[in-house]
Amino acid sequence: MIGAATLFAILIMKLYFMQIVDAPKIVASSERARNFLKILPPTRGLILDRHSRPLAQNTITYTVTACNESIENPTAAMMQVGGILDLPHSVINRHIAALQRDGVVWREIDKEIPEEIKEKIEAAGIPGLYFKTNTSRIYPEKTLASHVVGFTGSDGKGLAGLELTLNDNLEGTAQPIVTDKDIRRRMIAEDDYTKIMTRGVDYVLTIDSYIQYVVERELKKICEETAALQANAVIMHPKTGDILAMANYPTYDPNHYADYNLDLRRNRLLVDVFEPGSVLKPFVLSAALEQRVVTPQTTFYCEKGAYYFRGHTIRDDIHRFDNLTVYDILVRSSNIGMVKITQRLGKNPDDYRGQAEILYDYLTRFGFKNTGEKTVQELPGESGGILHHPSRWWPANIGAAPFGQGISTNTLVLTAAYSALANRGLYVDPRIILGKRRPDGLFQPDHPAAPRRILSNRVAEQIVQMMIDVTEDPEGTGRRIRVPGFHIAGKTGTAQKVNPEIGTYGRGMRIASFAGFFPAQDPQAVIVVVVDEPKKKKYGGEVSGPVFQKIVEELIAYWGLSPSDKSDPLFIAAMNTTNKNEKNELSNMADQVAFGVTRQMPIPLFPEYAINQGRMPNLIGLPIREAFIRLAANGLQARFEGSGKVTEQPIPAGDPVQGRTEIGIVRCEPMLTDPEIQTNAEWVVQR
Amino acid sequence: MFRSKIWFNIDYVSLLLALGLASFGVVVLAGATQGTINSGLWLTQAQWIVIGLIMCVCTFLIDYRFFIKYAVVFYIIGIIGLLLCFAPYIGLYKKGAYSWIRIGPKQFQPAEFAKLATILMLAKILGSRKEKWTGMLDILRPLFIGALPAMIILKQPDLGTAIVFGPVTLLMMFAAGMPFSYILLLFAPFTCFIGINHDIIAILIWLGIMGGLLLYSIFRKIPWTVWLPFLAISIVAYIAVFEYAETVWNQLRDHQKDRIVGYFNPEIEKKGLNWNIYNSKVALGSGGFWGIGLGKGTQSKLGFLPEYEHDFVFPTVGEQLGFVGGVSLLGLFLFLLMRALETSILSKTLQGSLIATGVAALFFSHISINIGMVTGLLPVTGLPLTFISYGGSFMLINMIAVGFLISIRMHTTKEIIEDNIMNNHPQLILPKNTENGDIWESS
Repeated sequence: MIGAATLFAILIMKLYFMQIVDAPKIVASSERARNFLKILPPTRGLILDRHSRPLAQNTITYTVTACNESIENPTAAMMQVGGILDLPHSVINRHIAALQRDGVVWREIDKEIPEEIKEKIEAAGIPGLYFKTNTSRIYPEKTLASHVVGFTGSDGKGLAGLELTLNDNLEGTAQPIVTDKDIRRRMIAEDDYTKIMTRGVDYVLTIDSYIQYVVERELKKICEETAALQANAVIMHPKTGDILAMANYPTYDPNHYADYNLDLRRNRLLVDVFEPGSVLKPFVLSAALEQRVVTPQTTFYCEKGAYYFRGHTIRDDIHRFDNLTVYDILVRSSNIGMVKITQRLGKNPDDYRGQAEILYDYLTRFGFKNTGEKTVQELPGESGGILHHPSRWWPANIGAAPFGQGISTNTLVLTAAYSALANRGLYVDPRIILGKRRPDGLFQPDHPAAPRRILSNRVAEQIVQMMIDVTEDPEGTGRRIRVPGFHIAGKTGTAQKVNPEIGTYGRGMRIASFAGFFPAQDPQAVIVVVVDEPKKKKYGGEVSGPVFQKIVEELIAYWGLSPSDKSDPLFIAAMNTTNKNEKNELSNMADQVAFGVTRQMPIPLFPEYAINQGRMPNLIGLPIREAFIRLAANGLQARFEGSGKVTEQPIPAGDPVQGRTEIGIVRCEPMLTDPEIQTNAEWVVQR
Repeated sequence: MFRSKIWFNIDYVSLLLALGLASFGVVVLAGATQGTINSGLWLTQAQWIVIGLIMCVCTFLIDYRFFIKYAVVFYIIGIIGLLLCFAPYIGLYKKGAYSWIRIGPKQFQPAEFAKLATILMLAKILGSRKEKWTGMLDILRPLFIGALPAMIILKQPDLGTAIVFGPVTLLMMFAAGMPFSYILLLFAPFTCFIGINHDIIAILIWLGIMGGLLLYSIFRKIPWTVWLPFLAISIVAYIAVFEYAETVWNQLRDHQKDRIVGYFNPEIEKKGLNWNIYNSKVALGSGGFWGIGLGKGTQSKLGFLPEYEHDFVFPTVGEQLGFVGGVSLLGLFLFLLMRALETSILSKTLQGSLIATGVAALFFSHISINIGMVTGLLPVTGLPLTFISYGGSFMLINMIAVGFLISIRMHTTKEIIEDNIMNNHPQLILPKNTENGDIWESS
């Protein structure tokens, strides 16, 4: 009894020492053995367009591996798997040969197989196959906005575009967690980690994938029509600086970026610079008007097309003008006139440095810059262009700069500069990021930068009037660019291009551009189209102008804009044409604008809308553009009456529409502008 | 059999203690296995408890004298069972030992049954006649009864279970009236281990101990028939160890060597040597005072603690319930042991008293060796913890052992009450154990 009690007392003492006195030391040493640090890689954030359609997203793919230990009949199994995976026979035979070898063989059968194929293989119930999951980046819209979005390498790090510049935020922070591992060094309850795994930040871009699509389509078309080397365009909402589209042609598919050479993958409109040519004239002219050295009515003698100035002959290409007002100099794009206007900027016509200083000052205000500065921080690789400091100007520069030679820039800078004119002298920094979507789902908008007054309202209004006449004056260089019911302010440009081989302006190497905005009174979009080396036509008005016009028409239909000027004679004429057979192309266009008739959408751009194939989709309550996309995705067309949101659809949702293309009239409520744009516009007004 | 009074005579305290301890074990087991592949283990254990309880009831309803009467039969069955472990088809080689026999789908450990059978046999032999404790045979007979199953079990090999027979036999002999002085003689052969050391000082020490024992034996007037053989055995053993220790050491299995080296070098914390003890210490240490909570133990769940449901169940108790849980468990054990010893005192017959002592000794050795092992006080030998460790056979024999205790108390009590009623004695009088009353005083 006493012995038992003594022994128990000893045991209790021992327990006391082990559990209370020595415990911390022992536990610490055990944690060393048991705990280990696991770095959880976060899932990469998405890149979305302004309507949250994914431009870059993640997908889970599988690697299938076979082990000959558990495969009963390698030949049969491989034939079956190879059939599902659609592998060539030579590859299947190699797998079979490998698996028939002695010893344990693990053989990778195929990589990056999607979920549905994996399920098919699993359903086949072949033993000895193992799947490993990998996360990979996919770009569901393929070439769409590929230059903006960029791509990631096989290690999941961004290599180009926003994927590169936003890499750190998209990647998110890796989360170190201290976890227990068991005796076999396995982590415990690995599945639970998906719940605590962090996500990178999702970025919502200002890009509208529909507009982007339209722009890319039109650029492709014009490049093919004119056999141009390349083309690019930027569309920007002037009040907010939102870049709605930014496209280069030729383009590339970021899903298979390695198949394209570096030239195709570059965001050329940003990385490459070009001499803008006549599209620079409005800014030079605004300097002269703002300095009050000329008025729109000041007349200049334009030397009948050839002007010997400081050792060079300046020519006006098409027409030989004698006396032109400042107004007409811009509308008809006279180079000689522009040089003469510029000469008034200095203290005297020979004070080229004074002229250069003022020119430099104004161009800098409009955002033109030397290489090394960025217009949009997030977009990588931008070369601002060449705009030398006035101290480095030569006298002869005054004979070239006013019509955009000797100065180079990129399309984005040009677009931002035109936005300042569209805003009547308020410069808004362009932006590509609309906001972030945090991992918790909250949307954090990026506020647009405060606009800066760079030009007086008076001068901007005068310039816009001239730019309207570029398209509306019968003598204007852009007179073909008309959309009934809307005034378009634009400027054509046909710049000579330096031939890199000979280092001087090449014969016939031109850059045809068109820059402008619409509706001129309340601009909703600034569009700059640049076509590089068109072979079949050469002038900006005839190459880039139609692209601009096409984009404008698409935007009007897409946004459901109602005509801003119903007194436009073109519009009235189109409306009054009753006999449909007599309708010319222009009145057709007016009809389309008036009723918002859709044109056929060639491809289902957003496959997620094509879910109810063969059945009428529900359109009620949708904005026109959504309704439009939804119909187009199902291969349907409709006439839209009114604008804004759909209130009535001709066929009830869910009814079969198999075999039909035209469904009738869809009625809409009076228009409401895009809420985002409206908010921002109000915000600008308040300033 | 079902006379009305019988249900009032049951020793509910022992029964509830046994059930409480068993439930404690189930709860701890459920906590330790929660969320692992063994999470269903506690249910199996609970089933064994129910079966054990039925066996316990069956046992205590039968008078213990019945078991004494057929003790020889039980003992022979036990020995045969142990031998069957080596038989083909029936014997089962599991975890490195032939400890199991297979009967149909069920597996049993005959060693567990042999323990009880040996207790019964010893009780019969030691209690049937008054031992004189004067001849060598008086000591060797019970020693042989205890050693026979132990030797077979050692051959399986299952050192831990074999060791248990030692204290059980000795304590029962002691309870049967063997003089305390004999104990020293019994331990004399164990001094042979000094022979491992070939130092002259060690030899002198051993010679001193032997001389002391000789003088002591003569002084206490122990018959020479008793002390001479023991001294002779001691000398032979010493010479054997002196000469063949290295050979024997080389004969040992690797894990046994590791355990011995590890025991003498507790600071080594590496796999193989003190891995079990190290992780046991970690489990106990991480429990702290209050424990980390039921079902939260990581040592067992992550596979660090080997045999956490069998031999190393106590660390999981310590891990989950802390110092408080461990001490409470020890308290329950002490209570049970006290109850068993009380039963031994209360028993009217020597056999009953010896059975109770045997059961107490069995429990005591299991508890002390197991907990001593997991706390690093003793070298590691696989031995389960009474009522707590997982295992069907073990649970059954523990329950039957408690059944013996209740049976002894019940049938004794019944006689006393009947006696009291007959003699119109108003109060319960504890009988004086005339035969070996002095023994308990000296322990």
